[in-house]
Amino acid sequence: MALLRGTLTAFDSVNYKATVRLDGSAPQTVNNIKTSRAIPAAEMVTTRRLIVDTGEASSADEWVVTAVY
Amino acid sequence: MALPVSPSLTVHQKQAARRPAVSLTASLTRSGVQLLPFERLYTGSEPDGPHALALAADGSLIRARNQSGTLYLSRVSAPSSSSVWNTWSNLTPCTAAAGVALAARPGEVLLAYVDSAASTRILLRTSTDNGSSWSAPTSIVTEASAIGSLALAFNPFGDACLFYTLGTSTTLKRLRRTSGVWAASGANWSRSASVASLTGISALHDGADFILTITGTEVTTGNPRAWAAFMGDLLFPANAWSTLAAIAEADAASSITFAAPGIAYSGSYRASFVRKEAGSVAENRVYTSNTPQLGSANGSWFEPAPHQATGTAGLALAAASSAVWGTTPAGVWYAPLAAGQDLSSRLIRCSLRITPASTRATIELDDADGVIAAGNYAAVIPGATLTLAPGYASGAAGATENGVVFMLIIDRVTSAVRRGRRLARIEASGAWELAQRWHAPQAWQSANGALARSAIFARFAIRAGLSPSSAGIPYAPSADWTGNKPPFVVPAGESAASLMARLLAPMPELVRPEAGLQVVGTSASDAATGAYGAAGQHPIAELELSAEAWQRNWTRLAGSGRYADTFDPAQVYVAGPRFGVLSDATAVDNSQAANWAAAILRKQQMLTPRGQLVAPFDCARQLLDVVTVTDGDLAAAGDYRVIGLGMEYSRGPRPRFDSILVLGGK
Repeated sequence: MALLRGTLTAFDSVNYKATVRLDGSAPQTVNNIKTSRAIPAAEMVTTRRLIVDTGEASSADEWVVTAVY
Repeated sequence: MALPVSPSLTVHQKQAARRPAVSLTASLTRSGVQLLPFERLYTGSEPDGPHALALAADGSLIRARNQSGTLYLSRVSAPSSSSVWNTWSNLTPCTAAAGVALAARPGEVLLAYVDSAASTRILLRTSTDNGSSWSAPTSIVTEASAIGSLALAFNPFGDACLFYTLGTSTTLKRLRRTSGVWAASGANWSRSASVASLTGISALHDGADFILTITGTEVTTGNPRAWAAFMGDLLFPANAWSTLAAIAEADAASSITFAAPGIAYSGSYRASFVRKEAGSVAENRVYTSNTPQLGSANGSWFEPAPHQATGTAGLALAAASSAVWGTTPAGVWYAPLAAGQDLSSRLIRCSLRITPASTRATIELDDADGVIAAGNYAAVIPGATLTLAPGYASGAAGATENGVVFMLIIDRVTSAVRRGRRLARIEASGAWELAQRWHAPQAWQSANGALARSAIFARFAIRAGLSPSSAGIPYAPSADWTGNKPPFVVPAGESAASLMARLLAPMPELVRPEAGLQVVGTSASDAATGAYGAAGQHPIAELELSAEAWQRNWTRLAGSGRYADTFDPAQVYVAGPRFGVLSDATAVDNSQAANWAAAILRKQQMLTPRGQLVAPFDCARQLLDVVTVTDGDLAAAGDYRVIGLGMEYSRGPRPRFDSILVLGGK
């Protein structure tokens, strides 16, 4: 499950963490996903699509939003 | 300790002459819970609206529905597939869109609805002839605001309780009838602070307490929920409310809400609710769920699954001894509780192989009478459960005794003719395969420090319809398994097997999938719980011992700000380095990282085959047991862990009843 796609529903620009509604998961979002610092905060606009790199990690702390489009 | 078996069985199964007695039964169950193959008996055009269902003591099916402020009733005596379902009688006006409730017990049926003249007043009618006729209405309670949903239930002593909400507020009141007298006013529940709104309620009495399904939204977050809860009556303190157990969840920002719950009890608690999707593609679909066998209503529930029923009014449920009924205003569904079939006398051959990650069985049955081929065995179909209990006629007067029992799921049923003999062949799998087929329909997340690995494992095992458990001494799970609480995310679409494998990866635990998913702790110091080969021990028919290199002999656990390596020198020197790495950021200290790296390497050592032992079937043997094997011919004397458990059974000219044990490292 290395790369997942989803839609941004909320962004914490202080801690740089995103809340994402992953594709296929209409009822539930995943929150506290770290976001690449290479993405300007201004680009993290809700309803935009994004890519989450899970890195095959069990720990949600290791997931990273790597792209927003 | 070893699986306990009787002394007579222990002696008998070691003898040269043995009397196998293998029991095989098929049932339309999942982990002991009866499956409900609903069949739609009626498709009408009645409009959606609040409705209720009750089964009277004479077996009549009584339905009530609120159609835009008119209360209609239907009574079908001796309900069946040929019944007429579209005959309704106009009973009385009522408040449009307000709830309706029915409850039945021998000699009495109660009907509650909201007065058409006052949306704040609940009226009650009584029938003493199983719904054929009704009394005049009596007002039993008037509130300060409009009534929302209604639910009614009797306890075994004839006392009743009416539950009702005030609009969609957080108020849920109970109004008890004790010794025939209704309380003067309703009393609010103690869980108002747990919710932000209530959209529906349903209730039953399970012989001990009142059980409710409730839909609404969670306090603070506003997250939509379908819940189960109970109010004490005969077992728990009277009128005390349990916490709310989530059956279905969504988040407030989604376009999903829940409404119109139903509840029944048939071997387990059965819930229904409407899942309303307001986004694209919009849909109001009934979902159903149930608790595990012997599960509590406010514990864990199976993953809700879609039902054929649609609409906003939900599916009312009622359970009889032989069936479960479900109704909407325009639909009637019937799910018979199919009896199981004892296939023991038909069993010709059975080959079973179980590992910590797989179960495969091939079973051949005599079908000379064509019953199986004709489909006359309702429980011999893909998806049904086979219970395989190998044993011997070793008890008093040849009574059957057995030990280990296997629960298998039918994957395929094939009818065949071979040399003029009609046969049926069943291919079956087990718990891991069921876990592989279950995929999360939505994301789920647990914060760091919230839930232990064991709790997350159990949650998803139950969601997948499995029975999780933990092995006892000497194979009890480790402190890390029950105490480590990682942050954990399950994306939509991930299988239960995959997420369980992630939980298990850095742990010393393995899984025994014989009859559910049993988590087994492993340690190099585990004592043997069985012995083969030496005098007085279980005899060995065949033994092979082998040596092969491990798949991985150098493992790294990459934790948080650290990593730990461990390796086996002897393996590395000869086979060369076979490196593997596992990342787990929840390893937050050096000893934890080192221990987990060692656990990963030890699994390699355990799961590398070292041989195979064939013996007369040993009813006490389970997967992952440690056994002592002694064989003078191969100069074998040592402990091995059973990493593969098999059974070969056949009757006929070449009878066989053997255990096949794949031996791994201890």
